[in-house]
Amino acid sequence: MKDNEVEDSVAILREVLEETKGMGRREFLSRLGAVAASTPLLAGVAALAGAPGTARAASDPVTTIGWGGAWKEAFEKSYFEPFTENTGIPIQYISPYSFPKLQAMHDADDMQVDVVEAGGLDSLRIQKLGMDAPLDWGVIDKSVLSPGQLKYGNAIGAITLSEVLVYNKDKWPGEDHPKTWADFWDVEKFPGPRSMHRRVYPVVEAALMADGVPADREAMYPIDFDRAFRKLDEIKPYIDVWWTSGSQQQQLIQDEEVDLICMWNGRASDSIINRGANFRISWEQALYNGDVEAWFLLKGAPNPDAAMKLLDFVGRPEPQAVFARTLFYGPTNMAAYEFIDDELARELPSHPDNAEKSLLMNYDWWSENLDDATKRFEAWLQS
Amino acid sequence: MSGQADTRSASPGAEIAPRCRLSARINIRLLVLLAPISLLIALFLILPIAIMFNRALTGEDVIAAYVEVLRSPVYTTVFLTTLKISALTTIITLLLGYPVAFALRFGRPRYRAIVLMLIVLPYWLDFIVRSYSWMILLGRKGIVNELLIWIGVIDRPVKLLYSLGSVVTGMVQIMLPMMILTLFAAMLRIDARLMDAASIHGASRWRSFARVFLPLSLPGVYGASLLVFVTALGFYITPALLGGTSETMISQSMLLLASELLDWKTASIAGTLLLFVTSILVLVYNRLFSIDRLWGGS
Repeated sequence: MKDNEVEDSVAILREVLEETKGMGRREFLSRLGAVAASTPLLAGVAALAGAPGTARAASDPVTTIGWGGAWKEAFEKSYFEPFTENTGIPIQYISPYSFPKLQAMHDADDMQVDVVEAGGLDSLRIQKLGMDAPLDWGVIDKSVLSPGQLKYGNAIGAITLSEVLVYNKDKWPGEDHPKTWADFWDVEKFPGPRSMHRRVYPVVEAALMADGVPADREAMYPIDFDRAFRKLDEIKPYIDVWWTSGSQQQQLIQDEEVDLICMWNGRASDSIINRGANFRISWEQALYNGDVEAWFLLKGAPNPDAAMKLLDFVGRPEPQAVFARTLFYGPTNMAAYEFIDDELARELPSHPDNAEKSLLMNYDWWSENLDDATKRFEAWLQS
Repeated sequence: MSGQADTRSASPGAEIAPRCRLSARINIRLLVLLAPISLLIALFLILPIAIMFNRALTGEDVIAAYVEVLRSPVYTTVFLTTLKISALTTIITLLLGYPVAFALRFGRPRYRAIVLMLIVLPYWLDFIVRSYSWMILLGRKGIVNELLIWIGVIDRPVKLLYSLGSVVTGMVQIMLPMMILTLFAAMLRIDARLMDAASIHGASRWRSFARVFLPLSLPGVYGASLLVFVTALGFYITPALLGGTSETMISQSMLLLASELLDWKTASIAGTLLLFVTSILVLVYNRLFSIDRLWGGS
C-alpha cells in the first residue's frame, strides 16, 4: 500500500499557500500555524487503531543537523512540522551545523544523523567521501521533482542562494544607484563604507566581474587569481568589515554600519522586508549557487526508512514554496513558483529573470582549488 | 575530625603510626573526591589534547608541515597579533582592576557586597550578547558617535568598530571580573594591620601602600595577570565580531582550517604550537615572578 501521509501534508500546504498568496510573512506563518494545530495526527490515530509499522515509525525520530536560529525555524515550518503532522515521525534537529562532525561520525562508522541539507561545497564533499547512501525511488516520487534537483543521482535538490550587491536606498534613492561590481568598486561615484564576505569565493568572482570579466561561467573559470587580487587591492582600504556570519550581515545593514555590502540574498530580504532596513538588492551579476545544495541520506543512517519518507517530502514544490516565503532562499523545484506571488518571486535567486543576470558559480572547480586560494586570501587580508 | 583527635591523644612514642594511618585515610578520601573531576578532565581535556598531539606530531613530512606553518606569513602574523591583543588586554584590565580590588579590600561590607554584585552581574551575560552590545555602542550610527556629534566634538562619525581599540575594549570588559575577583582574593590574605604598623612608624598613606601593601599584593597581580592573559589567548567571538582583519586571533585561523578547509592536521599543528608557546611563557613567567606561591608552591 502506497502511503498517502506525505500526499496529505502536501495537500494541506498547497491549500494554505494558495489561500495566503501575496500575504505578508507574518500572516502567512500564523495561518500555517493555525492549520497545523487543527489537523489531527493521522498516524497517531492509525497507531491507536493498532496498525502495525506505523506505531514504530511514530516513535523513532529522523535526525538531521542544521544551522539553528532562523534556519531551524524555517525548516520546521516548511518541512518538519507538516511532515510530522501527517506521518507521526518526529524530527530531531541537531545544531549548529558542522561538517567536520558529520565526517568524524562517518570515519568512526557511527553515523547518528539520517538526513542533511548540505550547502555548496559540502554537497560535493559528501559524495567525494562516500558519505551518501542510495535513495529508494520506490518511496521517493521522482515525477514531482525538477530535473535540476536530481543532478547528483543520490540526492534531492534543496534551495538556491545568491550573494548579491545590497545598497543603502536613503543614500541612492533614484535610478542612479550601484548595480554592478564595477559600481561597488567605484568609490568616487558611490562613496561610503563597504563590507564583503570573509571567504575567498565569491569575493574573487566579484572582483573579476568588476575588472570586466562577464557574468559567465565559461569566461570566469578557471579563476585568474593574480588578476583578481590586483583588483581586490583597489577596494581593500574601503572595506570596513569582512563579515563572517549571517546575523552579522543583517546587523551591518540594519544599523547602517555600511552603505554597500555583498551579502546573502535571504538575509538581505529578511532585513529589508521584515526588519525595516532601507536597503535594496541589485540582482545584476549576482553570485548564484544554482542547484548545488541538496538533501542527502547519510550512509549508516540510524533510521533510513523514515528518512526516505522525509526525502520524498522535502523536494516537493509546496514545502519549498513555504521555505522561500519564510527565509527568502529560492526553490530548486520550479513548480514552487506557482505558490509564490510575483513580487516575492522576483526576490529569489532561482527566478529566471534573476538567474539569467547571475554568475552561476562553479563549485566543482572550487572544491579542487579551495585550500590554496583560502590561504592566499587570508594572507592577503592580513597584509 | 577523628583523625585530629587521634594525633592529639597519641603519646609521643606512638606518634608515627597514627600519622601514617591518618595520611592514608586522607589520601583515599582525596582520591574519591578527586575521581569524578579527574575522570572528566582525562576524558574531555587530556584525551582530546593527546589526539591533537598525535595528529600534529605523526604522519609524513611532519617537519615540513611545521616549517610551512612557521614560515607562512599568515600564521606568524596571527600568532603575534594574538600575543599583542592578549598582553594589551591584560595590562588594561590590571590597571582598571587593581584600584577596584583595593577599594573592595578596604571598603565597608555593605558597599563591598553591592560592588561585588555589580562586578559579577555582566558575567551572567553571554559573550556574544556583550560583543553585540559594543557594536551598538561603537557603531557608525551608534550611541557614542551620535553623542559626540551632538556635543559637537566631531562633525561626522569616526570609525570606532573593527579596530584594535574595539577588540581590546570588548575583551577588557569580559576579562575585568576575573581580574578583580582574583586580585581581591589575593588582597584579602594581606594582613591590614601591617598598613597600620607602617602608619604608626610614621609612613604616609601613600608610602605605606607603596612599600607595604603593593609588594605584598604582587603575587596576586602576577597570578591574576597570567590567568587573564592565558584566557585571552583563546578568544574567538570578540575579535571575530569587533575586530577587523588585522585583529585576527589564532582561534579564528584554527576554526577556518578545521571547519572550512577540513585541514585538521594544520589546525592541530597551530594548536600544538599555541600550547607550546603558552607553556614556555608560563614557565619563564613563573621563574621571574614565582606565581606558584599563590597556589601553595614554594
